[in-house]
Amino acid sequence: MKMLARSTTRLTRGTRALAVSVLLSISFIGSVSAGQAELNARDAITRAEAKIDLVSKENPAATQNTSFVNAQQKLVAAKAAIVRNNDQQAMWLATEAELFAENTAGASKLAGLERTRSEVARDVDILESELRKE
Amino acid sequence: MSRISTFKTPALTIAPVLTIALAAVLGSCASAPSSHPRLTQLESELKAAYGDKYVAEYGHDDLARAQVSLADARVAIRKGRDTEMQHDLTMAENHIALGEIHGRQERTKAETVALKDRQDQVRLAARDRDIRKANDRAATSRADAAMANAASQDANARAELSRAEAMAANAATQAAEDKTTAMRDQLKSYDMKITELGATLVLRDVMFDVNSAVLRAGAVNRLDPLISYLRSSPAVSVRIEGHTDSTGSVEHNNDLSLNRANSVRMALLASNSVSNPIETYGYGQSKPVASNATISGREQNRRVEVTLK
Repeated sequence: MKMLARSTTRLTRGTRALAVSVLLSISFIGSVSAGQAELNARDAITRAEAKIDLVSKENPAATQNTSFVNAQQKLVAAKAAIVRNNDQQAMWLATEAELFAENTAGASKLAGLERTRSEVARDVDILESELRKE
Repeated sequence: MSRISTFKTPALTIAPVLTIALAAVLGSCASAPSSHPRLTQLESELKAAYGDKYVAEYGHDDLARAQVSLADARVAIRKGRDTEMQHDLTMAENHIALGEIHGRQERTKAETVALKDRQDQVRLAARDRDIRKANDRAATSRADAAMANAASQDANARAELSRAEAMAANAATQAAEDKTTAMRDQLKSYDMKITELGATLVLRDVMFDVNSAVLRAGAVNRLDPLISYLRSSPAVSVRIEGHTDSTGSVEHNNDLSLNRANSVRMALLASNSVSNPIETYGYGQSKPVASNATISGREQNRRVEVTLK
């Protein structure tokens, strides 16, 4: 019985050591993972910020668009999430901000293309009208 | 063996527990929401986006990302992770929107290219029309120029003709003037007046005795300059008129005046060198040139007039 008890104690000690070791490892990996998540979130915020700046510089008129306003709001919320150490939330909000900014730029470019098409169509109408007069 | 029995006993013991737990999990899964109104809406929008040729082709990457986001959203819904679901749905919505934007951009580009082609065609047609118009105008101008040239040539010809006619008229006038001058020179010894009929020479009655139609002896010499002139101008026709004063009867005066005219005619023809046509008339006292009440007037009325035409 004593021997069994001793061996159990030894096992318990070994198990404790192993458990401590595992816990330490998990804690370390967790802290490293948490740091990486924050870095990723900050990168996402930087990218979103750059895209928003680019849109506002290239298309000042587009800053009135709902998607641009959404991008700005998401960026502000992402920065707030970082401050709260909510890296995952910050990451999500930053990627959403970036996508809203991309949509703004795309819509702005589309508007330019549609303007060009309208101008050409108008010119064609005028030319055809003049041609029909003859 | 004891280890085996140790494992067996709990396994047998926990079997019902596991069964219950599995049932509980399955039950919880069955009751967990598998869908969401916004998810359904976005799935429908994604399907519609794939139905657009341009969006499907040029927004393909965006739509693929939207699909991934929707799949993530489904998982999040199943796991009850509301924040994650909201994020996934937002991402899906924006990816679909971006895909549609990319598709519309390409469609707009394609339509613009087609319109520019049409624009080129219409411009080409307009240019062809302008060229045709210019050619027509040029042809009209050439025709007008040809007509103007012809008119100009015609006018030149007419002007030339007019010049020639004017020159001929001048020459004729000059010739007539020369002829008149020559005639005046040759006939300067006569009393001459120019009338509509031609040059008229007036021979007073000194050539005849009173009441006689016979030329005096010296009167023939008086006709020499006239004879000389007629000889040099055979085309000139001669009209000889006899006139008297009012002394005597009209009939007698008519006869006397005609006889005197004929006497002059005979004198001219007698020279044998005059072949001009000669007409004679006797007007008697009907055409006085002065008053018959005076001697001087009657002398003037008694006359023979020779008109050269």
